[in-house]
Amino acid sequence: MKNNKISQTEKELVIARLEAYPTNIGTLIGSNNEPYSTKDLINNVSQGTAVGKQIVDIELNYLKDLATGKIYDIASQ
Amino acid sequence: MKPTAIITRPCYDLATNYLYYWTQLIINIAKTKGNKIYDLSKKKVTNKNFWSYLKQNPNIIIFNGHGSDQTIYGHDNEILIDTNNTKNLNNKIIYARSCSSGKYLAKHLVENNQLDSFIGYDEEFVIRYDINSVMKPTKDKIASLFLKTTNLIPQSLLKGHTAKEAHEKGKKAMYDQLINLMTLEDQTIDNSHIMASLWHDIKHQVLIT
Repeated sequence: MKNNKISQTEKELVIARLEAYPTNIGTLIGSNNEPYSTKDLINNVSQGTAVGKQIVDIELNYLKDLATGKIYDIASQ
Repeated sequence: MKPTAIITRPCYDLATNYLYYWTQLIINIAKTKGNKIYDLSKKKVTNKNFWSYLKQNPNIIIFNGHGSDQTIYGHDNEILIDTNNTKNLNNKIIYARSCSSGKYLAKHLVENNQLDSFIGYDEEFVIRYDINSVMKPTKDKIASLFLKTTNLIPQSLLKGHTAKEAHEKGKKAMYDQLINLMTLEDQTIDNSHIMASLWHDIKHQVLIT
């Protein structure tokens, strides 16, 4: 899944997940030379920035692959 | 004959700082095992130095740092190699711990520059870390899930394993960490953000030959 547009529902789902995350965890992603706190990620998702879209992709792909069992497929390969 | 390697590890922001210190562990092990390592670090990671070191004809190139789908960068985002490269890479193996370079750059180098294999990532390489451990990156238990596991790729190459073996070993190590987190008895701490990022890095680690 590679989103060009993020739906409001997807945004809300990912933001709800991010809000539940521990606050001591930072994220290094992309070439912006800056780390992101959970609050930064929430802001990026809200504003639909490139980093925000990447975070939505990461979170939703994980949930999708968990739900379909794809995550477990690799163990049997 | 032990494989030889050139290793780039700039250190000018938090991401490269983590990569720099975790890569030191690879170098320490390699030196005890007798591998010849050309360590290109910090401000020395320039385009000129990289190609100069490459004249020593190492078997393996290990990049750490920022990247894009067409470029790998050195110190302060100086371009080390990109899709305009015309130089022959003489059947070397590349492992690039950088974002997205496994997408187009990898194919370009294999198809046009006689690169044997490229292990890298066809999307962003994501690292989660503990903000209380940034002064001691190699003690960061969160970051270790991403960096100790991917360290196994160059370590495997330096043992003389094939690119395919190293690629699979790195993926398996990260996958094992993911399964460990998923099956933890204590689920009171929400680790799903770490699991989502591990899964992302596993899915997007590619081997191009």
